[in-house]
Amino acid sequence: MSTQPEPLVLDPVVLARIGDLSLIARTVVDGFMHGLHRAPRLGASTEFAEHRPYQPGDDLRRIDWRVYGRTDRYFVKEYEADTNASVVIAVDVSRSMAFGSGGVTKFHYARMVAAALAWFSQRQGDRIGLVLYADTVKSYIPPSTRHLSHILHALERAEPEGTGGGIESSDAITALLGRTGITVFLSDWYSPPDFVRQALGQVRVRGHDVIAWHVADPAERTFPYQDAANFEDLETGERLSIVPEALKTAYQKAVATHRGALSDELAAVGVDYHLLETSAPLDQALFEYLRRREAMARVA
Amino acid sequence: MPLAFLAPAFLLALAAIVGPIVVHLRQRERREPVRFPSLMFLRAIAHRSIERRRITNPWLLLLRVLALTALVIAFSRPFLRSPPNRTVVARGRRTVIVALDRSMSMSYRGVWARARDSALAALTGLAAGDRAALVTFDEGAAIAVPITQDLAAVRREIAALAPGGRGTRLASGLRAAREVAAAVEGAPAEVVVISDFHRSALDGLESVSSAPGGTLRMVAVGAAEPGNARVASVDVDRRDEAGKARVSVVATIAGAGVAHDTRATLIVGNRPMGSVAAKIPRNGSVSVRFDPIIMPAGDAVAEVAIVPDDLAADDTLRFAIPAGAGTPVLLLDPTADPEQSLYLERALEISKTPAFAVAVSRSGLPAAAQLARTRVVVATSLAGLGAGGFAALERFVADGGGLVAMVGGPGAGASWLPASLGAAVERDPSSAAHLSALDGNHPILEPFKDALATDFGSARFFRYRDLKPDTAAAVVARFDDGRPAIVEGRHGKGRVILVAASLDIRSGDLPLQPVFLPLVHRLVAQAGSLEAARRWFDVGDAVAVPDARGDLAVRGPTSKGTAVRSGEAFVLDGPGVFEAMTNLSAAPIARWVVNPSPRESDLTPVDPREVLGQIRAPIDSTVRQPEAIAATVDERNQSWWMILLAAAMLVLVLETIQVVRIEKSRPRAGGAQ
Repeated sequence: MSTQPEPLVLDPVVLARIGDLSLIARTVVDGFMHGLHRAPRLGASTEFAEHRPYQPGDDLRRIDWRVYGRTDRYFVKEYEADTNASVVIAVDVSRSMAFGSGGVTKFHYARMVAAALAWFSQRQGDRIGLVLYADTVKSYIPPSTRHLSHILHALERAEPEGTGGGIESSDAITALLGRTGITVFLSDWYSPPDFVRQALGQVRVRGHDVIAWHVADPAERTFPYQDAANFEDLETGERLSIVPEALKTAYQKAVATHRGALSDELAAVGVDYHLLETSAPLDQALFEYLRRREAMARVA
Repeated sequence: MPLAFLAPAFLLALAAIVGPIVVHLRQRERREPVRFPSLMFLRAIAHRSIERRRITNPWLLLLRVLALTALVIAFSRPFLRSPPNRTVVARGRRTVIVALDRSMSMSYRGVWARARDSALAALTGLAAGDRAALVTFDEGAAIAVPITQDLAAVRREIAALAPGGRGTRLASGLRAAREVAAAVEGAPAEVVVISDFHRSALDGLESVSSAPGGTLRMVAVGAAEPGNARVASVDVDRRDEAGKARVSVVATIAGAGVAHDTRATLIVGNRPMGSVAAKIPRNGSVSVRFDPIIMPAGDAVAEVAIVPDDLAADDTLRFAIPAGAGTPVLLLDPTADPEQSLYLERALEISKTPAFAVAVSRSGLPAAAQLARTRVVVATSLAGLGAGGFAALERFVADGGGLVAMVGGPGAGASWLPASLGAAVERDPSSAAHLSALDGNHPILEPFKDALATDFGSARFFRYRDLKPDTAAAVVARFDDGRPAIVEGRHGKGRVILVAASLDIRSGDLPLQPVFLPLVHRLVAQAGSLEAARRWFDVGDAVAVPDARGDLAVRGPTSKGTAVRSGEAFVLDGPGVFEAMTNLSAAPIARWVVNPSPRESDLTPVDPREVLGQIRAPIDSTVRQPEAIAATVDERNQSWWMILLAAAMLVLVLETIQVVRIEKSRPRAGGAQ
């Protein structure tokens, strides 16, 4: 299937300057859709919604003749698209997400990705829900086809708070998730990989398709610091006096090992793991999601 | 060609390279903490940073070290030392012409020995059959040894030479050497000029050209930083009293180079008469005053000497103390009114250059014998002289005497005077006359030329005579109504100056003005054609042999007698005392005391290349100098310092670019937003 998007100008730094998250989401999704060669809409069936009086110009085939027989009036059937899945977006809002070496923080980036994903899913006809969490669940919006505005509003108001490596609230999140569907986690995953596997494995066992997006800043990978300094943990406030030049290589190696382990551990429990660096265009995340969504549709 | 440095002390600054290295080794710590998402990984590996202290930004350090090194080396003035002898040796027989400076400045300590060695060294490369010549020069030049193959004779002459007391004119030596070189047949001659090359020796160089095709080498043998003190001048005040002369001497001692203490001694007739300690400032002068001495009447030759320094020749200044108290001047006051002559008398008494011996007569003209001994008559009035007086005065002037007459008062004139005396002009004090139309080019007023209006503008005149000058007379100054104030004319061999006002305070206030004293002196000096007698002359000055009967000869410090003729110019060619003698009298009729030229005391060295630059030298002219000067020349020729400086600038630009790149690559402080 050739759904590879054409290059888009969806620079997260540029988009972050737009204050309206709804506009950002629509811009991202529209740009993404425009780049696809065919419509990605996957839901095929429709479901009756309501009757309304016939108006000139309406398709005569949609007139409900049974109602005409009973009431002697022309009524037209209204349908709504059938939803294919329930999509829950879980966004880590712990303070470590507030880091950013460029023009956008991880939190801003994750928020934009979540909004774009919600907008995209709405177009797909999916039910969308949102969980904002850190060490506890901060906010929960259950999945629904009508909750997009609530989700965008919740994302707008969210601020980085609390601590956590992305897994502390996994039990609570698992309990909140109802019917099976797709659960997308956006976190920086500062937790041991086997702990992450355990946490997301629980969700997977409940029948959910789980996508784990690792939101990371390029500086977390390259560690471009030179001068000796006190490094302060954004979540705990702990300080460590280090000489970056001396441990740069070791740090980069540790990060690479960590990410490799995350990928391996999550793959072992059937969780898709993807790295999203805040310097990458936003539609990359949507493409990854679409790819996964298609796979699920085929299975279904 | 070994590498050398003109200022090697600057190389010590290379130690400053340690600075950047230390800075780059030092782990610079930010004041603000770096906010990072998690210390999960850092905590595990942080301990390693303690044991590792590396050089940060090694490329930046390299650039900084390079820039610093280039700067330091540039300031050290590097150069490649040239081979010691760059002389182009002509094929065939060589001819070397040594031009050796033997001026007074060459007697500076150590200089003559170097000069002699250099002259001998110039001959060392000559083989049998080669030729040499020796030219000596100071203000003039002489061919001491013509071109010869007898090199030993040249060497002997060099060894026998000694510096003289005259000044230096390199142009003279170069011209003489050129003449000798022009006569050389075969291979072009090599001219070696050996001198101390001080600044005052360069006069006339622009008109000199060296022999075409020859080689011209300059060998500088002067001290690199010469210091010298000299007795620059003396001021003598002589007062004759009762057959004795009371003489006060003030000497000025000038120093150049270094300050030092010395002692000045006054010697009269070979007898020390006083001694004073003096502290000579660096590049300055000091005056020392000797206690007054009493000496018998008659002239004398004296000298002030300081403790000899490296250049002893100018440490003594000889000078004459002429006999008598000064030029005999008669103040004639026919009115016998002391008030009228008071200011004039005082003004004449305090003259020094020229000094006047003033006699006052208030009873008419003195006897003819006394008048004959008088050089200038200053008359406060011409009233009451009578016909006999006028006649005597006319003869006096006609025979060469001078007359300054104040004709503001009553009294008739005479036809031989330069102006006829008209009516008296009376001016009210409220509208007093002032001097105007002053002739600043006239010898009387020439010293006041720059401030005539200022000096004379405030003088007021209430009473004066209306002078009608002759056509041959010169009007030196006029009153503001156009009438002449000072008129000068000649009569016979003498000179007459008429002043239209009486120079007393009843006729005006000129005697109360500062300009009065010098004006009176100028009037008398002009009337008597007097020139300030020179107490000493410089070597090379020319004097006029005085009129005298009989055979004349001038006896100098090194000559027993040179025949001369009256009125002839005679050049004083060396320091010492010169006396003009006749065969009719044992006593000298004139005496000149001569000192070395003060220009020769200025030892400020010049680069021999400057000399080469001023003359039209042949293409292959070279400069061979003592080590230090040769190094300077080599360094200037190569000018590596400019290249190094440019390289340092380039490296600093690269360093700036590198710094900007590093700053841009750094993450923003804090990280969290």
